[in-house]
Amino acid sequence: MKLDYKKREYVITALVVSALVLLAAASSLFYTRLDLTSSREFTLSAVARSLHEEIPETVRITYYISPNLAERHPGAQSIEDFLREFEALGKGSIRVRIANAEKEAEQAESFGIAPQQMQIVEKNEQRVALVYTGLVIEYLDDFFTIPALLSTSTLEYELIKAIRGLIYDSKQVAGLLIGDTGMTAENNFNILLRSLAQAGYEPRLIERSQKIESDVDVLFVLGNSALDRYDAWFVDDYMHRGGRAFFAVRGVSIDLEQGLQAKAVENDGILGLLSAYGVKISRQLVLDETNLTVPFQTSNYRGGYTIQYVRYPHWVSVQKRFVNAEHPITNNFSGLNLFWPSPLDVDKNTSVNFTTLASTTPVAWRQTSGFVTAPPANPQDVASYQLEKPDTGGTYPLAVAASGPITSPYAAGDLPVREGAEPLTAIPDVAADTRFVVVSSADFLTDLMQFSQSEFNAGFAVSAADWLASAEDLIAIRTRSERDLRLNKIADQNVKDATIILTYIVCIGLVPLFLVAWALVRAHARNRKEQQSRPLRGGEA
Amino acid sequence: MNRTFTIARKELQGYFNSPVGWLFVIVFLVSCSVLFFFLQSFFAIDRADLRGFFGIMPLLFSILLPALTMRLWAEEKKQGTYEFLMTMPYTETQLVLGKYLATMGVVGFSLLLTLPVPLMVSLFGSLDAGTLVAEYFGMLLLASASSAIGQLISSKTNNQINAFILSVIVLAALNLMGQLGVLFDLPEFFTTLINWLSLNHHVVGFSRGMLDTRDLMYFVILSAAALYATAKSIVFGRWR
Repeated sequence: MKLDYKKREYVITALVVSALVLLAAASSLFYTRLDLTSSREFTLSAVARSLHEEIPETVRITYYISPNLAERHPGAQSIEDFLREFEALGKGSIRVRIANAEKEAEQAESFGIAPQQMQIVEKNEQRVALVYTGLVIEYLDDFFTIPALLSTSTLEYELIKAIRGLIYDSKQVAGLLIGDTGMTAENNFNILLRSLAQAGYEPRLIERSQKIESDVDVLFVLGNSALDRYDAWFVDDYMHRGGRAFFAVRGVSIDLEQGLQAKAVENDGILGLLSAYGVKISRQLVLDETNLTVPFQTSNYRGGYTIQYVRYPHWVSVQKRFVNAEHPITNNFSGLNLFWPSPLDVDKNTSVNFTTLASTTPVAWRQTSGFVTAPPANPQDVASYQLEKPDTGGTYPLAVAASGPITSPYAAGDLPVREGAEPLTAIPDVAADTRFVVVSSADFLTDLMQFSQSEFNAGFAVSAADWLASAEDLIAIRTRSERDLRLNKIADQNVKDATIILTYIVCIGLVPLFLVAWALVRAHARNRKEQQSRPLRGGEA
Repeated sequence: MNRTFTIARKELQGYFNSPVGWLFVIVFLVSCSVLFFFLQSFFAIDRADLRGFFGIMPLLFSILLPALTMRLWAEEKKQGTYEFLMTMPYTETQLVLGKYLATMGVVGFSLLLTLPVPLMVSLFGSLDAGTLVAEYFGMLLLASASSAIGQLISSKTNNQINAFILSVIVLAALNLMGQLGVLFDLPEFFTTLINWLSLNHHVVGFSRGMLDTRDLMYFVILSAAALYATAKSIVFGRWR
């Protein structure tokens, strides 16, 4: 009898173990994922779901991945899962292949996927290995390459944009016109260039006083201090041919080499052009109570250098509650830090439709003249920045988006002349229907954003580029992974410091102390109960 | 089911009638907060993200959970109550599940008391509520598998200290084994197998706010397998 029982137990155990193994295997093969992030960061968007309707012929996606990277990096598995989901939604119009990049290295490199250096341990020895992790999207005879990727954070955006580019045979060009002396794309706009390229734009440098070709989808005017009316004519000409532009402009120039000396911009080229379009940038500075703390190097009396952390109201940190949540560019705001912004006003009497994208807080103020921009000797001494605060306090718009017909300042025939240069012709007095974005800070897209951890500024520029290029549906996909993660809800540093201490007290002090107190009270109550019941138990402990 | 809850209630009282339960909760809470705020320099990093906070928990569970599970069976055997328990009208399944639920009750209570951390952090920056829910859910599943394994080890030993040390070693190994694929050049099959077995590997998705049925099933299967093995070890133990 016992033997039968034993046998039955062994059989049941063997069956249960087999069932669990089968269940484990089945769960690896058939699975689903539930995206709990509030922005549905890992859920394919409606655009991706309906993309197959736009694809006439099959799109082939090949993910070249080195096996030693796939085994070591969790991102590779996420990318593969994502691509499989993307393929399933393609309803046969998208085919995905995961390729062993070591075996197909030659082919991967022919598509422009370059090997990346990665430190790995192999055969118990640490070494630098060359690994591939790139993606090729092929459509008919054309292809697009994402040369390196290790996460899915912007993959959906990049894929949709690339597939659309291949289907409609259109490569979007972002023109960069640098309007400040001494600045170059290579030295000052690396992050912006990288972000644009990653978003599928082909960055193209535009020379001053040169015709801007119509195949430029979005023109970035980066700075304006060196652009006169002659240079601005070419921008106006481009805009009147239906071009769309992003203006990052200044009313006051800051000399980074000369102790942050400030000077009102003299050239009227771009500021005049914008004024004709209905946007007035004042030659003043806007300062705000919500600002960045900046490390400044100052020389001390012993001849050495000291690093001082100064709250710098010239570097305005735009708060989420002061951005336009309705506009596609800013409805998924991840942050915007503006360096030395100027006041911006719009002329509501023009036919252009203006939307304010970002403003200061209500406790911002202006410096209208006698600009004080250098850090104070004493970091606590902020009075020198605030001389005009009582008279100029208020909210100031810092960025606007505009759409509608614009009027040329050159239509009346008042044409600028440059010696030795080709004479210009009047722009026809026909209002062109266009879109443009103006931000009253020329430096916010320079590599200064790396210094201040403001890389989301480049994200803002890419969103604006997408809006200008009429790809609004893609903005939401790209920006949903760009949540504002800064600990900036408390603007006042003193209040923030006090709240940090309160956090430590609550989490490390109060909660454990409460538990200790509870344990002691409980132990005491048990002892008392035990003592009271002892006579009933004949005195036994 | 009522009998299971009776066992669970009795075990839960056992935890909190002795310093074990209280010590577990307090050490867990203080370690999580101190490591998160000071060792990981949360405020200096300036990111409203609790991945670091939840990233500490798998290792803490490996060290602290065995302190809860070591006594479950080993103490019964040491105190001689094991045989008495076997004569009571409870099935092995009810006993194992009751003890498991009691351990999970202590862990759940500990996790509940960590809520002031996200609440205080949310004063400084915007946390993603969905990701937070996924992270807590992931930690509960991890604790479930860890306590089931701890109970299995406790059922196989007569000494609490042995049970504790063995459990720490097994749980730490299961947590860290995913690193083997990174550190050594192993065949692909082994790397896949090691990753599948690794506890940490299955927590990553939850920390990103994703609930993947593969991860969910891993924890369910591991917990079920360990609890079943515990119940069977008691049954087979009776025959000796």
